Amino acid sequence: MKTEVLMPMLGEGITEGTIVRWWKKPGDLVKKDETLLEISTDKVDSEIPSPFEGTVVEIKAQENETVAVNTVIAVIDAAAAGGAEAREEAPRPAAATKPAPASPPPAPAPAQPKPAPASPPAAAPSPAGAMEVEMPMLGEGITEGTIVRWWKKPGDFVKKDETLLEISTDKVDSEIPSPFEGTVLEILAAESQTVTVGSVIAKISAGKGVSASKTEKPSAPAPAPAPAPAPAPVSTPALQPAAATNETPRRESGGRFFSPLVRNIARAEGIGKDELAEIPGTGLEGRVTKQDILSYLETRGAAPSRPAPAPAAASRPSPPQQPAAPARPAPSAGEVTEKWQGERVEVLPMDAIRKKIADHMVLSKQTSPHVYGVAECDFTAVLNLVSKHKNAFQGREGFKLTVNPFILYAVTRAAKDFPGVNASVEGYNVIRKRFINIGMAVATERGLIVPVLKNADELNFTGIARTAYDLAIRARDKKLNIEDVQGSTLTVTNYGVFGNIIGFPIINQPNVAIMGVGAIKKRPVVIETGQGDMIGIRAIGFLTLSYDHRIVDGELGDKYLQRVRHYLETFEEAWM
Amino acid sequence: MDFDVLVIGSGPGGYVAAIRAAQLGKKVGIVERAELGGICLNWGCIPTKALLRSAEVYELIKHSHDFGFTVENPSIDFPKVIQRSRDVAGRQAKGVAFLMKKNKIEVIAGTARLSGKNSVEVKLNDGAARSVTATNIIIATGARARQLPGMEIDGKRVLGYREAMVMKELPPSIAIVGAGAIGVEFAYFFRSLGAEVTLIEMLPQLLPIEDEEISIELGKSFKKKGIKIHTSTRVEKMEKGKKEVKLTLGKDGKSETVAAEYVLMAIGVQGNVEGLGLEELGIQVEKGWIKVNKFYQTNLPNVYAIGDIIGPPWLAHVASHEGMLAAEHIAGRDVVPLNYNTIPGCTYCIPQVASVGYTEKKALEAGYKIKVGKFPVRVNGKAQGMGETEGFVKIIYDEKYGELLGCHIIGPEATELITEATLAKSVEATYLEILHTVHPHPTLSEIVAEATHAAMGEPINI
Repeated sequence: MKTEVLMPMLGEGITEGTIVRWWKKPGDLVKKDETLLEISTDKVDSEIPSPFEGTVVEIKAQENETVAVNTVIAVIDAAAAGGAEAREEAPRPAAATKPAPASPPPAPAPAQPKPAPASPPAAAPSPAGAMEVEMPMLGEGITEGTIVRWWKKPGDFVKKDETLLEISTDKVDSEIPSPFEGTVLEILAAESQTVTVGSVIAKISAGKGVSASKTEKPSAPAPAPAPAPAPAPVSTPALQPAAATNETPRRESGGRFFSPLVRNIARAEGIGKDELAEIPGTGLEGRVTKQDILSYLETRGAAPSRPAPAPAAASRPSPPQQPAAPARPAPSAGEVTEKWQGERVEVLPMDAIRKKIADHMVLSKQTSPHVYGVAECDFTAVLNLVSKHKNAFQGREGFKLTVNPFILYAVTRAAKDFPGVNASVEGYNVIRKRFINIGMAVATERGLIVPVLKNADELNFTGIARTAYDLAIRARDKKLNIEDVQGSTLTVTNYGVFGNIIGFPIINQPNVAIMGVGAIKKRPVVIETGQGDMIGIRAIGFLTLSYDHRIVDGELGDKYLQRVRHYLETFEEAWM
Repeated sequence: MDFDVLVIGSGPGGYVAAIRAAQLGKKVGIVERAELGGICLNWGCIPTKALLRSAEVYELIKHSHDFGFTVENPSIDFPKVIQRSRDVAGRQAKGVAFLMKKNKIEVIAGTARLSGKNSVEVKLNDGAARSVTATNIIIATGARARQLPGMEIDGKRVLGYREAMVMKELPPSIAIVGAGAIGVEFAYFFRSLGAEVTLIEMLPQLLPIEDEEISIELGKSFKKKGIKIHTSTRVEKMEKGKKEVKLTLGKDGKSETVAAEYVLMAIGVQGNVEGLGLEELGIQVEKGWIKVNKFYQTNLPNVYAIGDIIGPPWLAHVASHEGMLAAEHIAGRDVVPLNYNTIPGCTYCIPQVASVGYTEKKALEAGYKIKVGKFPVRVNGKAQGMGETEGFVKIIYDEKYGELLGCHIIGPEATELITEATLAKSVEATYLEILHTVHPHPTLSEIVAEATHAAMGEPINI
């Protein structure tokens, strides 16, 4: 029985996700809860377990494709494995109430004699063992390229990463390496032919060393035609880049309307919304018409890049969680690549997470005037507690006791004493939180992620330790849910793990403070006692508090920092 | 000054300009030498639509058996067909008279001639003369059927559209020279009522300005109806006999003779520029059309010209729009010039033809990389219910930015369906907006959405 796998809802307000990688390909057997694919959203990457056991029949959304929640992304034949929990392939409610489509055509349309309308072209079965090479995406906004030269001809053997062909776009020429090893079976696009991104341009017989490359389309064991002419939103392959995201607002803050076409052009040409707002319009009510933006583009190419807007923007009260607009119109990947062409550099387009981080950091620095306080903290008491309890803790909890939960505990406890740092700003209002959710910055291979330890003020030491450990592990394994990274009220970052002693972290918006923890090192320090001063060896670490001077004055920030230091230096065994 | 604005000609350009100017607070006069409403209402768009409806009804009756009815020996009351058409036109013209009154526009029945940049001499229809002064003048005198030397319209055997729409009898046979909208509509009309129709076009396709595939489809349909079609064909000679006209046709160096009781000359129009005093005032005329800027000002800035008199496209809806813009410009409003690429063209034969924007050929010539989607009418449920399954929608998108470049429809209600694409073009919509617009089911409009899906390579219902 064939069952459909739908794009899962990854969190509230998340309507789409990008498929990073398929762990299974058509023909593969997948167990229930075994990882089927990896999805990336603005906020988090997730590995998605298969909802049922069976054989993957068809993959309907390709890697790098952005797909709306509840879209069918794969079809699994559950019968093959006798999966009991398989969801029946009954017509979905939407289909049931929809009036029947027009009766089947008596003859194919003259212009479009496509046999299988509903299945995406990429899923077409290729000859046994043949891998399809697709026209690669050469940069943002580039939807096609012209084939300059094939370096290999049918019958030639090509190694993985060996140059297969040369492609020219209006921005750049590129040599394209073969995504896999094998013998070139067929070349489907002739030299000087212009081809849309994603079109199959060659077929290569599967040789050795085949890995799950992004461009590869393993041949499916005769995938059944897509079930029911799915009335789901239809994706539009060639024009997809423009369609997927909608970052250019329909109406800019001044109330100016931008037509869909103008927005498409702006997106494709890398015109940011600030820049768009400045283009003079000759249309109705001063609207920017297609002609206006095209004329602008002609002159824009020659002009030097615009200066960044005045830093006055910093004082603008930003609503929380708003995605930051880049400070100036982002040049397209094509433009950047062109600019650096011939230089000894590598241009790496940012992935979704990196873009998000970049925008977030800029937004934070523009929003919050950062002030920094640094405290020297004696961790000796904490380290003594760690060594005293580590075996019992490990035995009881199953993971290692570190300094980390002590810091989280102290930060939380001190925040209860000084609720002014556990707040956010909206316009000229301070939102003081009655709950303490501690964001914990975690470095992962794909970049910075900040999972959130919810309601830390309601947890005891063990609860904090356990939750923090769980979050860190899931962050590393890409198993975080979207809820896990939302709602922080105060953040801790520990750059000490890399050995640095002092840092100046950027506030995690919409928080107003972030605690940075440096490396703890044994140092000789002067200890004052009733019997006089003496030099002792103590475990010293520096704590940095970055705080938002809009609402946190020096007195509050410094007192809070000192309170954290105090709790750490005098950490009581009873708190554990 | 007698008037702020004086409009010469009360066709769909002139009367709309007059109303708009009056709405904007101007004191307006309008000079008309014949019927209010001009050619469109009296001798063009409206009466021909009435005739075509008669033809359509007759065809339906002939096919009544398909719908479950038996109608025996239907007969044609041709004078009634003509009378109905005249009645419809008359009602429309009365409507214009009412609108003039409502908007306090003075109607001057007579023939105007500019005597200065602010003065007009009117030879009144009752024989008297009247001098009128106006701050601004809008010339909207339109156009008339173009004549070919040696084949002049005589109103007896050689007709123009005007004579053709008030014939006393149904012609047993008629040869139509010119397969533009007028020629094609009359060809359908006469053929449907039973006349032998020969359609002759100098250019390689019927409806030469339409997309080639549309013309081919129309040609197939017309041939099925029994219309004889000669494209890429010139009329070399016309010999008028007592009862019939002989045409010598030349094609690829070969000659052929066609005889018919009547000949309809439908080879386009020429501007009514004569007798207006243009030369004396130095108003520029180019190739028979008054030259204007994008705000419809002639080289005399207070003298405007709109509609057919300024050249193609010769369409009533264009004239009306130009009239409104000219009036607004006179009133000092901000005027966004008309985008001539978003003007729909409609032909009301069966199957109807309508289009907006680039044809496939023009789009390619303009340097666009395009995505073309076509969807046949016969797959559409509503069309099947109607029993009208001829035709298709062809829609053309720019591959780079997704812009809707052109839409070409042949089939039932094509002339109503085209407005979706026209609005899309006017607001600069892309394929996405068409796809995301819910089209009601079952309607013909679904075909436009389906064609868009097809352009993306993903038609749903085929």
